[in-house]
Amino acid sequence: MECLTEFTWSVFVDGELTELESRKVEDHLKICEHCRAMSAAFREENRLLIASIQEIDMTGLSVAEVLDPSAEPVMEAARPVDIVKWGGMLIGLSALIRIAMSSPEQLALPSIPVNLDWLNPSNFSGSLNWLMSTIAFFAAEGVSSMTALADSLSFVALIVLIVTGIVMLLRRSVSRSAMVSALGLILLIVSAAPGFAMDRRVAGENKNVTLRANETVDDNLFAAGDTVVIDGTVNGDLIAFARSVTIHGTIKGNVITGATNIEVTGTVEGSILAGGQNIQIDGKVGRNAVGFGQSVIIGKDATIGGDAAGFGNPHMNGAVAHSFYAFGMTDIAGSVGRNVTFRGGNLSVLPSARITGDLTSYVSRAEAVHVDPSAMIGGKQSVEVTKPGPSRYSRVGFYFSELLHVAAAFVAGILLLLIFPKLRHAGFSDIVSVLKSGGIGFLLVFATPIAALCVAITLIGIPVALVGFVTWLVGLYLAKIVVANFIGRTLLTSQGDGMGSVALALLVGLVLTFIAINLPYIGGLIHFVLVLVGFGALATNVYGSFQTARGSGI
Amino acid sequence: MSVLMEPSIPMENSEQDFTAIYQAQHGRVLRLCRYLLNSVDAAEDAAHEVFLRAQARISTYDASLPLSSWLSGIATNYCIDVLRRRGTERRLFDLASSESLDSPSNGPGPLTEILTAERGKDVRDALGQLADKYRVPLVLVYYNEMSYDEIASALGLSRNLVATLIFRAKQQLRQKLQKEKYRGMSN
Repeated sequence: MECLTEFTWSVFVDGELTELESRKVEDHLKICEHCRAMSAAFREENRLLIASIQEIDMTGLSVAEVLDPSAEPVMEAARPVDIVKWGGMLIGLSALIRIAMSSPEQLALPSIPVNLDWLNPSNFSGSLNWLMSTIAFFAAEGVSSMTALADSLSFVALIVLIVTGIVMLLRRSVSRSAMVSALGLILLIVSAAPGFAMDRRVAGENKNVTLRANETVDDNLFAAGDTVVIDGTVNGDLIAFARSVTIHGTIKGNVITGATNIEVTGTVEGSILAGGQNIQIDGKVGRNAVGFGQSVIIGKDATIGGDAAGFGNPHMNGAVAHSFYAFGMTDIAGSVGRNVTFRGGNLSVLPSARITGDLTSYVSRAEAVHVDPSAMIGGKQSVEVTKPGPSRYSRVGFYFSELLHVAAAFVAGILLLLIFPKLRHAGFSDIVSVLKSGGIGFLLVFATPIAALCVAITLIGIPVALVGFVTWLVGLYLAKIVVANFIGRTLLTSQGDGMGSVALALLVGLVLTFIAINLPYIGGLIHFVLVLVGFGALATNVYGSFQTARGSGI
Repeated sequence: MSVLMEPSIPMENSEQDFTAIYQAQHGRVLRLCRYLLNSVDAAEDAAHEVFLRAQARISTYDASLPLSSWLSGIATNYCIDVLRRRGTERRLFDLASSESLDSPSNGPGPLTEILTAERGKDVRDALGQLADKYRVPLVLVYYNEMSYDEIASALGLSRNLVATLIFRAKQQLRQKLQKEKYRGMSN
């Protein structure tokens, strides 16, 4: 008998070979040392896997439940703590603890978050889940407690954060087209934001928002609650955040939604941007569909009029009129009118698949792409095998250049604090002020270049536009210094107003900030958020300084 | 009064019994549902439904078998129904039939050296990332300790296909865990 295949090992260690087969294997083991070693290793692996899987899973159960199996799960208790965590991530890893301390009433909750796994930032789907549940909570609970301005601004910023965050997390596998679809949708909301002409239906915790079959909303609809069910018609856009969002009716505009479970069986005439754990599209989408989720399923009866992009583990069984972009473990069983572009682990193109254009895959090994011979591919089929390059963290030059950056930022920061002493005390008292700064920062970061361009186009304003643009660039650079200063000052409690302690606080903050923005996977997101929040704080404080100066007659 | 009439269990007692069953078994049923459905929320709903069904069918329980197996059976069937209703599983298992038993594999070998006891969470994370068609049979064999034949009849698949799915599931689990290991090292 020859040495065993891996498949035979798998069945053997599960004790599922027939008696005859087992006997053959046992006989072979007596004479083959290699297989004896393998046998022991596979058995041990099986034992460890079983032990791991059968172990009490703390991540899915509340502490109370583990201690007392009869206790009902206390899911809801985790939510306020999620906000603290979320806020912490907003201003960087090192600020996390201090920000949490600034909201003692939130920290004082006796229970531990039931699903700590969600907070693991290296777990993509986990991050997505808690981001979504936090947003759902935020939309449902936090709205009433905030001013209208901070509300609108931070809401827009949140949407951008979701998309940017996910794009950053996947930045090595970003398709431009999918990004453009997503950004297009964001711009759409941004343009709608100032008026916020919206029907708002916000239900409290454990409450549901339902649009009945005979109901029609003539406006855009913003819905948030525990579950959102749309059976009726929305003539504008639908923005929905909840634990579960179900659309059976008709949406004439676009749909932007974040929820643990998203199901679309109705008709969406515009585009869909959906983020959640399970996304299932079975209905008709007039334009593009972009889904970020642990499982993104385009069902057999689904038709997408434009492009479709699935991040996570997409299963494409429906019909996409234009191109399909897939990221992660992907199955394609449906039809695609144009090209398919795939990046990620494994691609299976199944017998029923019909791809009119090209099939391009970017994978780490060629075997990861499996195309069934009876699948139809009209265009070229190409597999690009990409080997990951050496990590930037392994180069000495990287640390040296980062050190230079910290030194430069330190000098710039000291100058900034000398010119605007008020900034030395710029900070955030609570989560709302962080969001407010983030919202203002977002508007400035994105609106300033556009405004500068508009002024420049009118010709008379070219110098003004240039000044505006340069100020904007300087602001972008200084933004994280403001946050770093706040972090440093908060961490070093024994501080005076002398230049020495100001400089020390700034230096500590800068070092932590630079470490945070260089973290793998989440560094990009942290950087982006730091810039938004810092820009907002910088602008409001500088503006405040001028107001004070004018008020005192200088 | 007819002597043939079966003695009825006093209502109060049976309810107390069932409460005890619920307390003893809820944790395990909930975890099974969570593994199978890959969602905490859906698992809670499912576990609730499983106990409702169990209560309704308590008369069919064969006391010579372990109660936990009986409940696991109800939970497994219910969760498979839920997955099928999600409209994916039927198709996914169909797709699996195109997989060949002897297709070459270049996956990593046994992971004994990186699978230590403290990596249990990583294993569960990786399990949660598997597609339904791989996760479900793997959970049934490792968590529920069902045989290939039992899984085949529960899922309505051939025994060979079940063996292939489990084999592929282990391969993918290894790949994910190994990737996780390198990620852990580069951090």
